[in-house]
Amino acid sequence: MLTNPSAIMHQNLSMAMKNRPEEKEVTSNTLMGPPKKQMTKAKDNDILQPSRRIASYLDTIRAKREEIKNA
Amino acid sequence: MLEPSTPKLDAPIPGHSLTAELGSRPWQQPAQYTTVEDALDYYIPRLESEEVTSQLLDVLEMGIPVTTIANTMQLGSVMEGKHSVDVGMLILPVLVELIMLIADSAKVEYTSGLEKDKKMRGSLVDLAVSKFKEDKDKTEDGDTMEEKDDGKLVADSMKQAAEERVGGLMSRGA
Repeated sequence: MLTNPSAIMHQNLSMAMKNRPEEKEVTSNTLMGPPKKQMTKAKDNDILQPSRRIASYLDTIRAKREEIKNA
Repeated sequence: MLEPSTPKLDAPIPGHSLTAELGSRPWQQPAQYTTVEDALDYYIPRLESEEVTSQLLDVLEMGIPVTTIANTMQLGSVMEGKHSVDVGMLILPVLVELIMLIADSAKVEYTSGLEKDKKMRGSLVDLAVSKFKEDKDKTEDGDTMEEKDDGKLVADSMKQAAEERVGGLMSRGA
């Protein structure tokens, strides 16, 4: 029975961070262009997802750790 | 449904959860910190305090894995009604990294608990795969030994044949 999910959570998040697709530049809407779909709007607000926020915190802490290790 | 082979005696008796008034336990109340940020704001100052840091480093020096400490911390907070289990799961990686950061800054050797060794592999599939590989290696070694033995036998018989054939092709036979 799994009693400690820490390692799995950590590994899953690290893998998700590694496999994150590159962000493409989205051209702004023009008057004549097609309207943005709801899906793209949701992708724009990706940073609002808790997992994304956690990933950004993790990045910051890892950078700090690297600084300490390299110092 | 699979029946367990041995009776599970450490489980609570049926109806045990109903012996206390509903809502009397902290985890039955609405969580105090509902977002990841609120929960981290609760943890970070505590982890940075001198008292907690010294205790944490002592525990790490004893060889307790970081993952175990992080899980215990979040589980305790869930029981105290500080945050929900969901928030606890989400902040686990951050807690692990934070504890490792504290240990690194104090230059303390620690076990992260993230290593992929045999003991840490919880999944039965992983265990089965590793056992299969071990068995396969063993059988391959056995095959090569047999081959070697066979090869040695062939070489010996060839040597013997060569010794018996002393003369050349055109020489008279004995």
